[in-house]
Amino acid sequence: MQDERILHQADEAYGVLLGMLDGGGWRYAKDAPSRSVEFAVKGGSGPIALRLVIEASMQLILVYSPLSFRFGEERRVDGAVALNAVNCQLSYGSFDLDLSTGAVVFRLSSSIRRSIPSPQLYEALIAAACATVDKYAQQLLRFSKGEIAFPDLYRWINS
Amino acid sequence: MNDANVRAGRLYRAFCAWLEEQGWPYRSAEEGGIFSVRYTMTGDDLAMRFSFEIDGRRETLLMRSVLPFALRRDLLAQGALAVTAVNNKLTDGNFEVDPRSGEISFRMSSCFCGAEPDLEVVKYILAFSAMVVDDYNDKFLALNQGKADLMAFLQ
Repeated sequence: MQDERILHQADEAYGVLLGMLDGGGWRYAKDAPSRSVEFAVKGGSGPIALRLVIEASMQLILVYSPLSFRFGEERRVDGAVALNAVNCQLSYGSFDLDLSTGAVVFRLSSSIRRSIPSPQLYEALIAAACATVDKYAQQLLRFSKGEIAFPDLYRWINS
Repeated sequence: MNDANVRAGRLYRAFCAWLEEQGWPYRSAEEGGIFSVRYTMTGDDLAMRFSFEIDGRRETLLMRSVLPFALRRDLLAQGALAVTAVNNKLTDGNFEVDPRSGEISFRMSSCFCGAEPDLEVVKYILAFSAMVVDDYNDKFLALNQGKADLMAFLQ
């Protein structure tokens, strides 16, 4: 009974998300079985990929934004230190680094326990994710390409 | 006081009342529309300090738990890799090590834009963060004491 209630709530939350996207004229790809959508937003320095998932068992909205580049093996240790420094500057969400592939993903979550999320909640989460990715992605990309050295990146993060 | 601040205040009072029911000592304050609650729990080994902020302006809940030791400077890179490896296993929340101080903290947040924030969300954040911090604080301490290496986090 509890599980049914949670699944029903997750379906409702997914419905609000689709309604918000449709109402705003967003173009997106949806995967109903996983209650997820994918789309891109135009950022200040290129498109920002977003994936939103309603995670029923944990009653969470999860927002993932994979960055468009990977850290090469030679940059992963410094990259991990840099992303920790970035995460310390954030109040909401975090940049995750896959140490085996060098992929970087921004991840943000919000609980939907005992509530159906409002369209404003989704808009706020998308705006927060985009603002954070937009702020940091360009410098992280330059670091991944070797255009700036780690000390310069680190100084920029803490400036 | 705007509607979001009223909702934040209601949650703050419910949270404090619940902590009192549990008999858990806490400290609380309100300043500029931000309601904060701090308390300490003892886990299986180390004390766990939790700091909650209910922000009526931003309509957010923010929880931070700072571990009671700082990472040695010579272990900063290993610590950053360990934290990174742990974060990849987490669905919610994240650890972060501050390269300037070596301070390691666990952080979770949730947003209540356009809705009444529910005490169940606070209870979930509290329980989930206590579980995760209790799982990993002794491992980070062992790394800091040279009793464990990075492999313990990568497995």
